[in-house]
Amino acid sequence: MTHMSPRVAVSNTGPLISALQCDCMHILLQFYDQIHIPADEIPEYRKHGADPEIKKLLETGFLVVRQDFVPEETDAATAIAAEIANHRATRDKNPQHHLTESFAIVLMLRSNSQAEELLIDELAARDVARLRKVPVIGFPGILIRACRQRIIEPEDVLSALEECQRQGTHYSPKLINEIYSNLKRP
Amino acid sequence: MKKNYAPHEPEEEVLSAADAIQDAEQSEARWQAFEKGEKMCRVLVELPQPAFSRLEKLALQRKRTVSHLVEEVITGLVDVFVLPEEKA
Repeated sequence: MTHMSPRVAVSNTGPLISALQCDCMHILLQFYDQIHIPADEIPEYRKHGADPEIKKLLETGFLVVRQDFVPEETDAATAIAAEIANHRATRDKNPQHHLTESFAIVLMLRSNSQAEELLIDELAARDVARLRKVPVIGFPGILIRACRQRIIEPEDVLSALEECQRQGTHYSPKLINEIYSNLKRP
Repeated sequence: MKKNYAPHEPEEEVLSAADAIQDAEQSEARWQAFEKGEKMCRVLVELPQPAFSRLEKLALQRKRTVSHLVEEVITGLVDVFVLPEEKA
């Protein structure tokens, strides 16, 4: 890299899985120099069947695992997880199940964090992150940016989101059609 | 055959289209400010296939990304050809 500061983001599991589902990891590789993830996400990628792909991205240094959480940060993540579990938009009321996204938020809150934004799709966690003034972007937003930069076409955004949906990701037909119509608008 | 990946938390409610559009706009503004701060200018490079795939393979072997390699090559070219010409 010839520029001074790397372009860094933190990611929750969902957006990286979506990028793999629709074969759009190349877009993330163009937008960012590094994506930091909390160590708790690693078993989740294994569960999603993405272990080899994630391993390769770790080897290139594009993905960086962060596990250096001090006790205060672990406490903060626990409190954030409880807040997400209590949010009206979540169906999963078990705070333990929201710890990975909470650690991702904690990474963003570090005073020395180099990360510019948090990649996250779930509504409840996004709300909780925003309350803490953490800048967020979901995977559909990444595709929209890529389309506006002419990296991909509106039809590519449509097929990418439909492919994620086909593989079970919770992008509704309404969400997909509205984004496509917006991108097609002159 | 295309590999499939199990979805992440498929029961959870996700963002709306309006959220996604706002995300993209705010993110673009953030990165434009970042680039201004770093004195960087963005260029769009369109590579035909198989050049892109070859570069992608090379980048992976070198533990780099395609963007990094393109950036290094262009910067190198400027150092070799443009800067000496300016000095002359």
